[in-house]
Amino acid sequence: MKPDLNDIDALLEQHLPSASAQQVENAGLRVLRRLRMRDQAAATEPGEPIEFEPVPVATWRRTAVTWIAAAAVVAIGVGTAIMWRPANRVGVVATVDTSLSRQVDGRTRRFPRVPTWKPATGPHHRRRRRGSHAGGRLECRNAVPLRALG
Amino acid sequence: MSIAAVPSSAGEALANEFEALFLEHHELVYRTAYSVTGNRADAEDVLQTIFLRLLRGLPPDFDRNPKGYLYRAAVNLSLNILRSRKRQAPADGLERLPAPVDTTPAPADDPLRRALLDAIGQLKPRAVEILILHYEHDYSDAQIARMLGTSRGTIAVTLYRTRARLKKLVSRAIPETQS
Repeated sequence: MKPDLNDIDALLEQHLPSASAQQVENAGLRVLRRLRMRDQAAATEPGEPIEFEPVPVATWRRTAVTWIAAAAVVAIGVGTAIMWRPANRVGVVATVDTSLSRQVDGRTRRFPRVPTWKPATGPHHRRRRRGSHAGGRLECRNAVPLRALG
Repeated sequence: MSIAAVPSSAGEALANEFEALFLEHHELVYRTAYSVTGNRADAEDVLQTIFLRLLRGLPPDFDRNPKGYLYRAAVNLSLNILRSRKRQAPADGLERLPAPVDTTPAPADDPLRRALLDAIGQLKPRAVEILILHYEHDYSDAQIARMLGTSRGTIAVTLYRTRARLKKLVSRAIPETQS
C-alpha cells in the first residue's frame, strides 16, 4: 500500500525513529562509564610539564611583513622592466657595405662614411716585404674627407 | 537502575558539574541523534563525542545556552554521520560487510523510514533542528523559538517549508511499485 504522503505529519510521527526510554538509559550508562574511565586515564597519565618557548607574535609578524615587502619590491621592479620600455630607442646598424646608420624611432639616419685607411701600395711605391710598417705610409682611399662627427 | 544512581568508583571521578550536565542533557542528545541517524550505535557515538569534547574544554558561548548548544551539536554531528554514510555506500559488485547486530525494533528495512532519513539528510541543519524538536521532543513553536533564539513566526514558516520539502523528497524516493 502506498503511504499517504499528503499527511506528512502522520508519516513523521509513525516513521521517524524514536528511542525507547530503556534504550536511552542504557546508552547513557555506557557513555557515562566510558567518560569516567577516560577522565580517570587522563588524570593519571604521567605527564611531564611541557615547556613551550613562546614566540613573540611581533617577531614572526615582522619577518612576514619584511618578506612580503621584499617580494613586492622585486615584483614591482620586474614588472616595470617588462612593461616600460623607453620610447626613444636608439640602435646602430652596420649594413653589408660597412656603412653605419642609426635608427631612431623607426627612422634611419645614415652616418657619414668613415674613411678607411690602407697602406699605400702601387707601382710608384716601393714595396717592402719586411718591416713594411716601419717605413710604410698610409693614404686615404675614400672619397669622403675625414671630418669630425658632430 | 537509574543512570543518576550509578556509583563512580574512586578511580572514576568526573567533576560533579560535568556529571550533572551529562545527566541533565544526555537524553535530549541521544534521542535527537537517534531520530536523525536511525541507528543506536551512531546515536551513542554522537552522545559520547559531544561530551568528550566538553570534557576537554567548554566552548566560550556554552554557558549562555547549554541546552541549545548541545542540541545543535547533536543535530550537526548526526547529520554528518547520515551524510557520510550515504557517501560511503558500497560500489556495485562489492559486498557489504555484515552490520553489527542491532536489536532495535522497526529496523531500517522499512523503506519509508529509509526514505525519510535520506530526505532529512538533505535538509538544512536549522530545518532538521526544528523538525526534530517538533516531532520527536514534542516542543511547541514557542518553546522551539526560545531554545533556538528566534521568533515563533520563523519557526512556523520553517516548519511549513520543511514539511513541503520532505513531502517532495520522500515521494521522489518511494518507488512507484509501492502504489
